[in-house]
Amino acid sequence: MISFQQLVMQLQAYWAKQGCAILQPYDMEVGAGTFHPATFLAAVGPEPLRAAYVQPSRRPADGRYGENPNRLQHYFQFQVVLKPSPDDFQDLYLNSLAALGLDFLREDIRFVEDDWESPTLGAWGLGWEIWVNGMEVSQFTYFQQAGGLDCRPVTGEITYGLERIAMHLQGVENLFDLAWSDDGAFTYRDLQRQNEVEQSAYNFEHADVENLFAQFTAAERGCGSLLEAKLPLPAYEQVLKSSHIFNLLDARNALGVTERARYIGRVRNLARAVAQSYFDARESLGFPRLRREKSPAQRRGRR
Amino acid sequence: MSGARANLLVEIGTEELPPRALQSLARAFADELARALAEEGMLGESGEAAALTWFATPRRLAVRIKDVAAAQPRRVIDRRGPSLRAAYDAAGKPTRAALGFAKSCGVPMAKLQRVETEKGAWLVCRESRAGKKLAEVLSDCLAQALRRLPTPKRMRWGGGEVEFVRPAHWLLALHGARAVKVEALGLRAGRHTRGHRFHADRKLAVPNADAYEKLLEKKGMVIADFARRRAKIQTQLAAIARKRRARVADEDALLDLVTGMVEWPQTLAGEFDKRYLKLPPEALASVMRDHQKYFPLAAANGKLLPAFAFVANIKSKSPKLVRQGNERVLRARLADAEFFLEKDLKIPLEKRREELKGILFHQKLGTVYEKSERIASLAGHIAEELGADADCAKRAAELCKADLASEMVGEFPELQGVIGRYCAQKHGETKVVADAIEQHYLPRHAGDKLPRGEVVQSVALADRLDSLVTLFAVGEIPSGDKDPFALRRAALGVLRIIIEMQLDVDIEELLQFYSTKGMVGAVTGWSHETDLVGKGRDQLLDFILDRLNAYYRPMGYRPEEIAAVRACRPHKPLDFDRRLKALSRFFKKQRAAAESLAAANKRIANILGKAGETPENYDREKLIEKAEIHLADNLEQTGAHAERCFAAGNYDDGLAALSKLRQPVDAFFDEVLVMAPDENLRKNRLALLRRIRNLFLAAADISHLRPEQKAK
Repeated sequence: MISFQQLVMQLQAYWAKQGCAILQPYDMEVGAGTFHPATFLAAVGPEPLRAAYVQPSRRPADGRYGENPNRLQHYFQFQVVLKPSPDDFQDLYLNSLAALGLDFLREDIRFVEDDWESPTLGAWGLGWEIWVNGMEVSQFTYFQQAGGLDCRPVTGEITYGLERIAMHLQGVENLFDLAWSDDGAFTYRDLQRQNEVEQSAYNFEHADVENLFAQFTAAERGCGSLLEAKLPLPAYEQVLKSSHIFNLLDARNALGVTERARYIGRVRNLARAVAQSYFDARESLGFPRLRREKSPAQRRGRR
Repeated sequence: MSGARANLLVEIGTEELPPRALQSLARAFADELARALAEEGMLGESGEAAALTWFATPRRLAVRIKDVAAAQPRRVIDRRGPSLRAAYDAAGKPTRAALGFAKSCGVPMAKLQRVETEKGAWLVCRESRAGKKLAEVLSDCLAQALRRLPTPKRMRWGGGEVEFVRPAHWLLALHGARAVKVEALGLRAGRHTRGHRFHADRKLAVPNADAYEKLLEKKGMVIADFARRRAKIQTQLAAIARKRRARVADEDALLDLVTGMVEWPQTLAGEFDKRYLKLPPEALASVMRDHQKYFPLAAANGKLLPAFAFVANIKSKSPKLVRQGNERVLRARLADAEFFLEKDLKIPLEKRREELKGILFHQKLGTVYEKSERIASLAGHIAEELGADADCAKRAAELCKADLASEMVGEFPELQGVIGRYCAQKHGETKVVADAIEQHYLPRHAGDKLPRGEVVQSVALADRLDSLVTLFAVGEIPSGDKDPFALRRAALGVLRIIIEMQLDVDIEELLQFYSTKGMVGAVTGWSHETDLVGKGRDQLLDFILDRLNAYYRPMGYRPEEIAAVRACRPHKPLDFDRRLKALSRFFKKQRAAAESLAAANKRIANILGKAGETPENYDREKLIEKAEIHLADNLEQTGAHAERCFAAGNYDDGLAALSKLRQPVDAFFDEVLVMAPDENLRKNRLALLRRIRNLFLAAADISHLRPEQKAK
């Protein structure tokens, strides 16, 4: 049986072999691995990247006080970005599942249409959810736009839902029963459940709505002045803040349908401005990763 | 001449295509390619529709076209030289011009021919040129067909600029047994296809165009033919149902979709705990059908069974494993639903509604609770107008948004309204109120069904009108492709309900009621009330009426007809509908008269437009010429009759009456000078024309419908 931590390590080992830089999680509250600068910002502009990392992710509205066997407000994604997306992108993904021990002639694995759009990031792409026997275990996306900018080249993104895959591999019905450590001495319950209980209470009952509204406005303002100072990376952190605060407000049910749309629009405006500013900053540096990437090819050319 | 004909097979191998669009994509690809080849003269002379077979699976679009030529037919091309007169001198010797022409053609004089036509005689160089080869023609035709595909969204991948529905990986082109060297989507064609992603993940050489689907099925574990795959699923479903003495509930809704998701269908059955059958059928259907693409199974009497069928894409070595996996997913979803619903049903909607006070509708427009207050007030008013139970409408409106705060709707947003109905029933609301809570969301999209009964309709209209009025008032007006609050859909919903449910509702009156009643202004911190009086209200009315174009066009009404009625700006959509239909019939039945009157109306409108101030009434006594007196006489008789018809909403008879004016109007224009030098005469004639114009405007401004000027 493969433990939760083994799952992470095997995915890291697999993708490291495919030439990925194994990165660390971004150290802020984010809703998904996509928000990590290595995905969202790196998707902007011409520079190539191959990276993989775990990203702890928060979706406050999904909290269930640790009572639901399938639902968490804090969970772990394993994120892979390949830019440009390679020709054998789907096969690379399937091989990673094979490396985890999935047998494609026993399990029904499907690419199910799921066009992805992040209204808060002004980003969209086309791709699929991956189903294993009806259970969604990953998302697979070809980015077409990020922050309102066309993706050239296209970033290919894979997001593994680690808990889902682990549940499948370990054959458990309650995610809290997942063996975290290799000998099963520590379970997901041991390490995460109290956090679920307390954070759910915070998200749904104690988060101070008025304060959150104020924080949102402050982050929005902060982002603006950082952009004026031409500091896209710190400005992006303000986008992350505003996005998470929006998610908290949403969990508190403080926004109706219409007002919700307006707040999403406000975050999107920030994300767009940051994406453009980041592009400009990289351009003024001469797109450094682009130059480095070219040199091996040029060497080959000379031979 | 054109080489041997053979069947042509083209296949594009892709990553998984969107299943909903699959059939239309494959059909369009086949049709467009055949059409392009036909235009290039590759499909024989008969000109009849090409015989073609299309194939579609998640990973391929393919088409086989019968009897395609190997090359275009030879073509004879004449290059014209000097006229015979200039080509030979008096002695019959070739001139320098003729010799030069021969030289430029690279042939001796003797090879040139003479061509004589009515316009003269010339030397020509006749060449018989071979037509383009299939490979060359196909390359252009493929590019054209791919360009014309009705793709919802195209994408790029990798570092390239090629765009397609999904990344494309291989291209196959066979003419009979011969591979055609052609390129498309950045791919070079060969004779290879690929088998099933998991069962036969390898290249398969196709020996000839006709062997394609059999080879794929035998060696590739792919059923390429959509209909065949669909039928296979149906058979498998029927077998499963038979075994359980059940039937598949509402198979059609899913069958095409699922067929588009598999290459080698294997239908299996699964079960769930029967206690979940207590969940609302809408919730069960939503979880099974919408989320998981499962076919719910029902007993012969139509009651759902705790079982479902689903279609896998592999012949699994362990069907049990596949079944258990799917059962587990469903169990988790149903357990969620059960848990939420149980919690939700304990709380009466009245209490739930209090939670709406914490949900903002819009920053400038207060909470959803306040919105529900406004809807209630407006719904009560509309119900009164419709002669329905106003208290009932008010009650339903107050409660109609309460379930937005429920857990179930948080989890399954598509169940908004449905959950409200269940809560209402549970806590003793009347059936009408419960139904109104559910159905006030109708129509949710184009083609959706409409709410039945005046109480529901009042709430449905009030909800949409409130959004329109208040969001317009704070400047959230849709522009271009920006319509974040879906106000266009809301406006169209208002119109559809009124027109198709035949409600006698005056939108202008409702907007007026809304702004004078002070409800909008009662919203905290907002005093835009005045914006809705006058200009703002006109803008909103126009916005709503503008949707009628999108509404009537698909039904086949011409844009000019719609514009003609639109120009009169009827406030009652039902009235608009009557006018448009009568006008359309009028132009069908009495085309000549209608067009002549349309032209006359245009002329009258131009004259009146230039003339400036015109008196309202003409003076019968001051008319002097025969034609104008004749016109006036006709006008008095038919005019009064038409006006009575129009007032009664009988536009057919009204327009028929007005058609009698054709001859007198034509005669008037033939014989009478409107812009007479004498001011009194002139003004009187203009007034006569104004009267005609006003008569027509009571139905439609038919000057929009004047006959097409012949295009140059």
